Amino acid sequence: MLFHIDDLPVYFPYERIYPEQYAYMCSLKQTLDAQGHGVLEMPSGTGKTVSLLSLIVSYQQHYPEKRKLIYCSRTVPEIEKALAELKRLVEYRKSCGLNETILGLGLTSRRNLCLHPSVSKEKKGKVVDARCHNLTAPWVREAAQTGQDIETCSFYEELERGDVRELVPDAIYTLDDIKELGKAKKTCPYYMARRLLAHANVIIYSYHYMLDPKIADLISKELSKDSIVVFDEAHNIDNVCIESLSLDIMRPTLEASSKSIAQLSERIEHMKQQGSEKLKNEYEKLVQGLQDTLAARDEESIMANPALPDDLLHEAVPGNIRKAEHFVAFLKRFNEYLKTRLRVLNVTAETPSSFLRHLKEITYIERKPLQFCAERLSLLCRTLEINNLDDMSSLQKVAALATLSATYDKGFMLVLEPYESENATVPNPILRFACLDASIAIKPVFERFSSVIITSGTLSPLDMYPKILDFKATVQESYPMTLTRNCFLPMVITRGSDQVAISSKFEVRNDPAVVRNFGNILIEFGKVVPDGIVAFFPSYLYMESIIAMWHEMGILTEAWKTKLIFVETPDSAETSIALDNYRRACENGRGAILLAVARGKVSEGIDFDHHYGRAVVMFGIPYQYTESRILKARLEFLRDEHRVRENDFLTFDALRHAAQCLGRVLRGKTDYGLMVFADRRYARQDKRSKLPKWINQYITDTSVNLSTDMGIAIAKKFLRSMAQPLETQAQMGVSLWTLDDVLARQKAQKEKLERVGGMHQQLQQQYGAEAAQRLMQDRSSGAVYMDVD
Amino acid sequence: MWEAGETVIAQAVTVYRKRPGSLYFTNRRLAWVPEGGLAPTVSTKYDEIKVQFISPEGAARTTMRVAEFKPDVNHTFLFTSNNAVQERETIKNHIATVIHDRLLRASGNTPSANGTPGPSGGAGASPGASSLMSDNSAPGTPKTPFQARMGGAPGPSALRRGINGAGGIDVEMQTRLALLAQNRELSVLHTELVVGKHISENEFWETRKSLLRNKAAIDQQQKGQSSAWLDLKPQTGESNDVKYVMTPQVIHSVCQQYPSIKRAYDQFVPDKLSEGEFWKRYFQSRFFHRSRSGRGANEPDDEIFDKALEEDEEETKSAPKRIKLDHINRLVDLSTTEEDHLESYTSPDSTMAAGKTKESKEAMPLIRRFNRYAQRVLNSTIGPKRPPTGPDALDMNGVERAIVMEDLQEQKESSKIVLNIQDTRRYFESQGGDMKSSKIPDGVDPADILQRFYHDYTSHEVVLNRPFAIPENTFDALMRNVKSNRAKLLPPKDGSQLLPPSVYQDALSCHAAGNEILRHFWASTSMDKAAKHLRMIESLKKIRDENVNVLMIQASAEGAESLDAMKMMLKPMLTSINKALKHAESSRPRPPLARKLA
Repeated sequence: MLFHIDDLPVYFPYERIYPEQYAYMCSLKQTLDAQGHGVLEMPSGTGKTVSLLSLIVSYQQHYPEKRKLIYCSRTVPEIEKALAELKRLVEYRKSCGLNETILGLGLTSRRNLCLHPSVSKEKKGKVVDARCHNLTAPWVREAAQTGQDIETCSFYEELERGDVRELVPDAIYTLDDIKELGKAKKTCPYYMARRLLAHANVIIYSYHYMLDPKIADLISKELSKDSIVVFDEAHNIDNVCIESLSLDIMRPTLEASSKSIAQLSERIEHMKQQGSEKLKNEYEKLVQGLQDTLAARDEESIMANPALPDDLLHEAVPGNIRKAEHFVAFLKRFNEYLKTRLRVLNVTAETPSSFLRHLKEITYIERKPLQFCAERLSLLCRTLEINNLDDMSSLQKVAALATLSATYDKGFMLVLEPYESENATVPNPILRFACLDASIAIKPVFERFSSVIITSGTLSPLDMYPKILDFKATVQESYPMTLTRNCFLPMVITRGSDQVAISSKFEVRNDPAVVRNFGNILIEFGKVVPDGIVAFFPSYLYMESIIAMWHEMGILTEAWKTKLIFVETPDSAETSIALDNYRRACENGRGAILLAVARGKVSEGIDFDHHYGRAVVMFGIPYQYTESRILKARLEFLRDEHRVRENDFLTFDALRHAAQCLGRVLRGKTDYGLMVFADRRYARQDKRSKLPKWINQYITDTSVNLSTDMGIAIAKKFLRSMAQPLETQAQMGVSLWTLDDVLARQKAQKEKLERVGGMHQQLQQQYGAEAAQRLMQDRSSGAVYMDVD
Repeated sequence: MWEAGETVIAQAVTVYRKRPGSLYFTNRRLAWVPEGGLAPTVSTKYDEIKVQFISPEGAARTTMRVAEFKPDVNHTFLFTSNNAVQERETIKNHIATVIHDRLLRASGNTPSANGTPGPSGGAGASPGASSLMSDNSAPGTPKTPFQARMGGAPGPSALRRGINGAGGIDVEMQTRLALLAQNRELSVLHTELVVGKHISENEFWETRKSLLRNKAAIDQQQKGQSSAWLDLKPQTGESNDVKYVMTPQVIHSVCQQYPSIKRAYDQFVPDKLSEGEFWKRYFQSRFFHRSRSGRGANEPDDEIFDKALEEDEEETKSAPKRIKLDHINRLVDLSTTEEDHLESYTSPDSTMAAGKTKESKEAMPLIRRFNRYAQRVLNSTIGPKRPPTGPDALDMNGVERAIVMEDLQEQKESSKIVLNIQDTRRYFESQGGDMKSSKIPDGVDPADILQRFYHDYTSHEVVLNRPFAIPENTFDALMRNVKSNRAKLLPPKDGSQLLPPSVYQDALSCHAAGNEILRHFWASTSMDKAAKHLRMIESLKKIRDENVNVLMIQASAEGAESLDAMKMMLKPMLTSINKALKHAESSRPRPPLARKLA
């Protein structure tokens, strides 16, 4: 359908629209108009992606600026789906008679795109990257061109021969399409996609490519400033930010980096003997090299790399690491120092500055050269023409530690843990360099791009994200879900049929009575729920121990009678197979139970809609491991910096994961499913209030404090009524709008605004202009669009 | 397609239930695989074959029918190749040997099976603590075990039917009988029409082909394998000895759960170990007792099972190194995401790192075993997953399906499945009670009422802050309703109350028969069915003149009121019959009349 929001024509590729989608698009447009950032929470499964794409593409094509859309999502399947949506949307726009050229494409790793006959067979991304590098590095290609017998990649060579823009017509390319195109043209899809990024109107990739400085530097640095950046499924974005600037060093890491250092010095010797000019050139280039980077940054064509702050670039590389052999010796010293640190057998926690002080006392290493470590190492690798870069990864990690610890002081923490767990007796020391401040990694994004949209099905409470990511949101909205029939039923089971309270609280979680009651929930739901059931546990550790206990108690034998059972494992390939089989079992009508972990891989981006999940059970509350020292440090940081109370953050974090797991059960309003919260603590208001509005809205008093048998009775009734055919007629105008409904709504809204306009003047007289403006804004956001007065 | 250790001894090109395919005789069973099919749709174990029949030499069709012990399970194969007779002869001889062997065994002789797994001969009661029974059927698809009552001479009825030959019809006959036995209404109608010689058997079924097809499809559908996780519990005998009973079902489950045991079984049974011996050793082995607490290391060493145990532990200890992910749906392929960006430089905390603690080292093998067992059960039912065929990878459709929101699209009138009620009379009787009382009085248009209600409903506004007054006319309407309901409490009399049950029944079946014949009548108006048409006219006349009259006489014997009721009941049918006959009179090009004139 085609409708207008203000003066913007919006093409929406369906005949009907959910009210939520309409409201969402209105808010989005507000955000874009204001050139500001937005936080938008929209119920899972109500077509967030399609609304987002159709509004932004309409916006982009309507205004002459043609602002580029950078859409970041979480997993490759989600990227794949977003690309397919985009393709569908653009086809729809074409069918409406629009004559426009839109280039849209996705990017993923070499491992997922490579066409090279032997390299593409590799399973590990790291290996593929390294082998690709061996075939495409400039010196390799140079050597091949001078006639040496060196293998190169024909796909890459083909790409080098032509101009990418001429090669690729404007269209939407899914990951598959780009691969097919590469096959047809015999060119490398990965580099083709990378080079097209600069020209594309829409880019869809993982948010690591935007946030992780290691990759962002390569890929996202030349995107224009007025681009619209969207982080979809962004509820976990703070953790991604933190992870991208954190690193762990263990003994094997240091051993491997020692080896790499030896390899480097050998290589330097070798080059010197050959009398190569390269090292000399490098020395000279070095003084200018960073200058180049600096020049680019001034023009704002490169996104600031948080690992390499501005002040650093203004300084010359310190003299003591300019010469290759000096730098290698320097690295060696640093590496040895870390080795001695790992020998200490008590827990230590320190700030980067105290770490640096200690380092200086022992080794006389200064802060300045440390800062340049990472950059200097990559330059050296290039100069020495090192192949097999994956051998160097440990050394890169050590160099990254050097740079990060010397660059940042606030918001980071170094923790040394000699033992892996509390009960371990054999030391396995680990030095964690932990980022505590999520805003550091995302800061360049907010600073560079004018509109950044953070959206997901679970962002409650909304004010948390602007706080921990340190930005100002122009629009901040959460939408309730309009339903004609309550197609999902959240219920809180607090006790078993024997009235023993259930909880995943640490003190009681392994109590046989609790474990048995958890098991009974699984058995009973297995009996009444058709097709698929997904059950989530708070952690791998707990899942493993509970499965072992269930097996001994014979609970699983009971569950096997009604359904097949599949379990998530740490190995992703193994889990993928299990998932695929799970879905086949659901399709076949046999039905199955999937046991998974709330923060695990399955909980992210796998949909359990329709028969793939008629019930999702959350056993316990997925709190983080509270004994973790890193977490404690982060909580402290949050309390001191953002005045977020420890408990509030822990509960917020646990519940967003719980809601995320449970939200996957629904897609569209004809779908239906049960959401079972199995823990006594969910009944408490302070927990429930942190659930997203759209779930909370449907938790009724009758379903908030149930025993297993009561829960089963309610579930039975629910499933029976949901299995009846749904009359779409009843939904029309309420939870499903046609174009007429949209128009009617717009008209009503306009009238209302006129009325309110009068009120505005009134208010102005009463409170003065500024306060009135604020009041009006409060009233107009959300309430106007959704009619929730 | 075949189970491990199964070899094909003979095969032939055959047609089964009108589908072409191949019949195989293996060392374990008789199996028939449709053309292009992957799994046998017919699979009959040796011990399930009761008797075989063949068409006489030189008959037009070379067929063979195999009856199973399960009542009413027959398979008829039509041999279609050039040397059909010879192929059939080969298979016939093989089956004959099998049946012969079994008869010998049943009468107590030692077995001399050719290529079949060595049977352990019933109870191999060993002096030890555990004794076991085992059936000699191989671990394949589960079939309920059945006792040695087998092997009796084929029953006379079966023989007779066998001689009658022509297989396809025979199967259909079975289906018809089964349908009639299940469906009372149909059976009554059948008696009335076919036994009453109004129409022939074939004509009766001609209009009910879909019923037959449906029934055949239901019969053919096989029940999948149970997913139950095997929990072997011994039976404790009187003298405190422990006994495990091994049925084929149990053996099958063991093999499904532990592939290493299956491998050992295939390797050793029956060549090196007898079946009984194999399972006896299994129950004494470390393999069997490892999961049971309290049975430490006092099991004897056992080469076979210790090796199997080792293999089993090796298989479940870690994730398989090379897993092919090409054929799975891309939307659930987690590895693409894992390898999408550089691995993170951090490691998860101890609760999220799997397989680290002592407990989890125990749990991981269990989890892997679960996943694989579930996969095997699934594969045994729907076959292993095949990579999508053709270039238009099915996966893309998967993505399409995952993004398109159906309820946002313009709704097409969905094709609804008609509710099929087997015994309509009972259903309507149970529903009819309230229907009668809510009859709309004459002269009132139902649409009008609906319209009025709709108007009331939409225009009525409840003002909550004002006292709620019920309008006067509502009360009046309610009152009227109550009154009329009261009047209706004395139900009007109809045939079911006025007529004695037997007469009423007769009237019903006469009515049904009349309608059926009317249907046939109207269906046979075309020229090519003229003969049938004539017969129908006769039948209609017969009903009108004879059956109805008989009923009228019976009813009038009960009194005038009954006669009226009867007239009322049969009136619509009589009207229709008259109409039909009139039509026949007028439209006939009068060939029969012409003949009469001539």
